[in-house]
Amino acid sequence: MKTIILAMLGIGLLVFSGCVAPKSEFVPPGGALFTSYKAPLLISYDDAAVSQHSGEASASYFHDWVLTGLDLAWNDCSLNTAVQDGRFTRVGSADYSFFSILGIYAQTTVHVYEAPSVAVNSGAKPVTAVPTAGNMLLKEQPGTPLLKNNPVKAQPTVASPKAADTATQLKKLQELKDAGLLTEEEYQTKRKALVGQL
Amino acid sequence: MIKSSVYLSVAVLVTMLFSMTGCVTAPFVPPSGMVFTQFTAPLDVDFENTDMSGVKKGTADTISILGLFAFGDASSQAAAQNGGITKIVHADYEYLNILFGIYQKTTVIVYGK
Repeated sequence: MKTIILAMLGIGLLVFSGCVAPKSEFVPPGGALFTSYKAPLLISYDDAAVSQHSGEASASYFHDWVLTGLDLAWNDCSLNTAVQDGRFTRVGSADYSFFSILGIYAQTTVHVYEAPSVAVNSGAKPVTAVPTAGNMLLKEQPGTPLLKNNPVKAQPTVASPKAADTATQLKKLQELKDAGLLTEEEYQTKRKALVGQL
Repeated sequence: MIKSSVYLSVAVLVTMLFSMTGCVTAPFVPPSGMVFTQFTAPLDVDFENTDMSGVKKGTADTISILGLFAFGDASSQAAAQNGGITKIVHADYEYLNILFGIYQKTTVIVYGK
């Protein structure tokens, strides 16, 4: 009876305890005894730059399986800390790495890579307004540290399209719809937006 | 009594192990087979304005063995470096699973310029 209660307690602790595995849009299979992998964190690539210049920030996790069954997690793997570590402000893309031994100790590290500086409104090609890894701009506000207590603000550079550009975009939109990459609803929404700019 | 406690300990251990292992997680995952799985699927599902003309390809992978050990570098940076890519326009991934996760391989495939 005592054993059953202990076993149920063990399973209960497992079920209700914290999460050893990271939660992300892309997570490769882990190992129960040992895990050490690196995987993409930002997966919306739109000319996302991957440079050698990077910054990183880590959070740690400890699970006491033996004495208390309780687990603890601490530290800072925020984007803010990672860009401060890399001493840059524009993020091109990001990966994360996960390390775990026996589910007792785990460490999750966010790696961010610097984006090259982009000329705004250079005239040649309009830049999409969708905030993605490729055009995420981290801007320091006067009097406040970079991103501290502020949500990450993606400030895409938007070029006002001229009529010729709009025509090109309409053609491209049609091609995407024909290729089955856009639904009728998405196509109509985008088309209306483009026509409205004429 | 001793025997039953051993069985229960094993059950707890197995539950613990399975709770920490699993399949690949991605925005788009096709159905997988327990005995054998090999598929390639989109990792980046935002296809808007994705231009795949004249792109180069780079790959990087992680491996999991017996659901006990997992290692490797499948980061976008590693894949881009392997393909000589500095700007990524799109990414797919490939997942291989043999015999209930005895051997699992996840490959990130990036395309870019």
